[in-house]
Amino acid sequence: MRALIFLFVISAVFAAWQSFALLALTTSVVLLALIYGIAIAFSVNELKLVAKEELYQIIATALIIALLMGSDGLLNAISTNADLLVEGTTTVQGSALAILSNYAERLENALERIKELDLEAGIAGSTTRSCYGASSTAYLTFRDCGGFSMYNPAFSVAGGVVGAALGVIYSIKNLIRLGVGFGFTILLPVGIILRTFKFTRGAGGLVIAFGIALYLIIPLAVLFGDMLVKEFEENSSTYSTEPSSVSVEFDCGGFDLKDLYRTPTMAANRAASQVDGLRQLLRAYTKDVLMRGILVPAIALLSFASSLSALAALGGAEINVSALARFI
Amino acid sequence: MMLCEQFNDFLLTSLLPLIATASMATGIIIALVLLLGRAIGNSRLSVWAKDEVVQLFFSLAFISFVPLLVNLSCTLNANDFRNILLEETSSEVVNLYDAAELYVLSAARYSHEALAAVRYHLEVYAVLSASSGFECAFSFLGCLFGYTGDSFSLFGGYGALQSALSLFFNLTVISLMTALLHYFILSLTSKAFLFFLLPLGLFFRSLPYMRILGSVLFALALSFIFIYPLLLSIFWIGSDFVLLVPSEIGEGDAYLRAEEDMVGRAGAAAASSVAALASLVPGAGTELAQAAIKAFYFDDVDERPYAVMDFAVRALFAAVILPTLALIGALASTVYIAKFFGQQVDLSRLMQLM
Repeated sequence: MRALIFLFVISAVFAAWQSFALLALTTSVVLLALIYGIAIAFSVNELKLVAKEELYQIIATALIIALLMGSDGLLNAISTNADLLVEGTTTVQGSALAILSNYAERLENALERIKELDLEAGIAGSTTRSCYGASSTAYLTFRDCGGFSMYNPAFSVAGGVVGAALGVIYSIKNLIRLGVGFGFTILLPVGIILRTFKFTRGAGGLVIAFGIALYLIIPLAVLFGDMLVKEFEENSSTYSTEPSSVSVEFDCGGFDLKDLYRTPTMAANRAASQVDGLRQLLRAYTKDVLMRGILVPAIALLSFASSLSALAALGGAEINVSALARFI
Repeated sequence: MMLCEQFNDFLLTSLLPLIATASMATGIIIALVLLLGRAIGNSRLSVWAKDEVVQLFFSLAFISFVPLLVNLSCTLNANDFRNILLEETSSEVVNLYDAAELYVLSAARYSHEALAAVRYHLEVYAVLSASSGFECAFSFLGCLFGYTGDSFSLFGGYGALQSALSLFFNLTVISLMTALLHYFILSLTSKAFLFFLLPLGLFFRSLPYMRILGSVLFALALSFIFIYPLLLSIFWIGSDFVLLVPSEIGEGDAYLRAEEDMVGRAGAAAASSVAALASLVPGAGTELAQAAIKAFYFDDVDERPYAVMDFAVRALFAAVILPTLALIGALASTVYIAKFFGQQVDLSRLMQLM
């Protein structure tokens, strides 16, 4: 068994996933030949029939691998296209990761800006002016910037939405990272071996499907989604405002005793005057959150779920992923 | 793992006698039916008896397969794969069951670390947003003779970050609970399924008219004894990719340390004292007080809410997605094994639940 494992994994250090998969397939054929040999030796016709039936399954596995090799080559060819290639990357997976890192950075900046505004609004909204003399009999407090506190609940909602979008982007980044790390080097060969045996065919099909979906489908879906985002941005000037160019001030200002006599006017002006700036900011961030934080991840995750189901069925495992799709 | 030794004892002392009893009982029933069929000249009874003999042999063949499978799982060293794939040189023998258990426990520990990191940030933001200050209007004498100035929240609101982090906090709680649930399932299936469900399934499989129930129990037991730990052990082989702490978070970061090392009530009190002293500095009192309070929570680590969010998502993958996939794989195998025995099991509802 150890020798078998050694033969099976030795190529991992030196070779790409193709040779690894072929070695797994060869192992499967050897095991099947062993079963057929036993069937001939003991004249067990049922075992012969099982071995023959299993041979068709190995042919099906070989076809899946051939299809994968073809599509990988095709994808690599696509990835060398200058329009698709992200600068500094050479593979589909690398490009997808670079795109997602850029998305994450944009949303992190958005959350950072929202946090800063939340803090400013919080400080301004909570500021209470007090006037109390040691020998006086009157005590006065007023919150001339209290109006700013109305923004805090809205910022909390915005923070929650951007946080969720960030979570989804991190999830897809991790899925791709897992795919690159052990999608084709561990999952695919192990899946092929498992698929050889009838009673582990379900698990094998699922593992193969998971490996392929991680390694190929998600990066491709991200590239496709990014093309949509670029297309939208090129053709929509309404949403071209960059968030950094929008100025919003939540400064309560200094204390002046004269303010006591014109407090109502000041409070109304200070809080309400920032609505226009916030509206522009909301529009700019909505584009980022909707397009980069929701649309592209949704395309990637739905492609992942549906391809997992389809590939698992192709591999011989009927997996119901409707619950997973509903979750997405 | 004790399981391997326990199983061999169990095989000799309980399983084999049970199999022998069930086989003998079935053999006697078949022989009686065959004799009765011949005595009364009923060919249907004779055909039934012959069919049952074939099924009995099938059952015995599968029974011999089970110890082979369990012993294979016990002798297979997952570390051999790991050593070559990750270029490591560990000589430790980690069988399939050990690897599965190691993965689930590591995922639980990893989720707990992510939980601690998120919890620490949430705690800090809650404390910071609740702190307040007062700025006297008269900078020269201060408020010695009158209380006139501005009182305000020192750090304003942290609602946006708290709202975002709360989501990740919930994720890490779910991750930790799911990892522990899988540990429980693994412990239960490796013990209860092996020592109870499997013999029960074999017994029922040997009895005529109970074959369907026996097949389903046998398929379930086989899936959870072999497939589920096998898939988890595959994830253990690749655990260096899965259980990777984000590079922005260092091993010695405060929120990954034990509870007593974290800033507690005493730390917060000291922070407020320093802040109070700092606030006496004319002109820059507020800024110094803010810096003093924040330094108590993020002195040797940076404030890294985004790395912490990434950590929480990684924990979700390690402790929820992958183990659940192993469970789905085991259930998919149950359908296959049951089909192999000629039974159709509909586990679609259970799959959706997963």
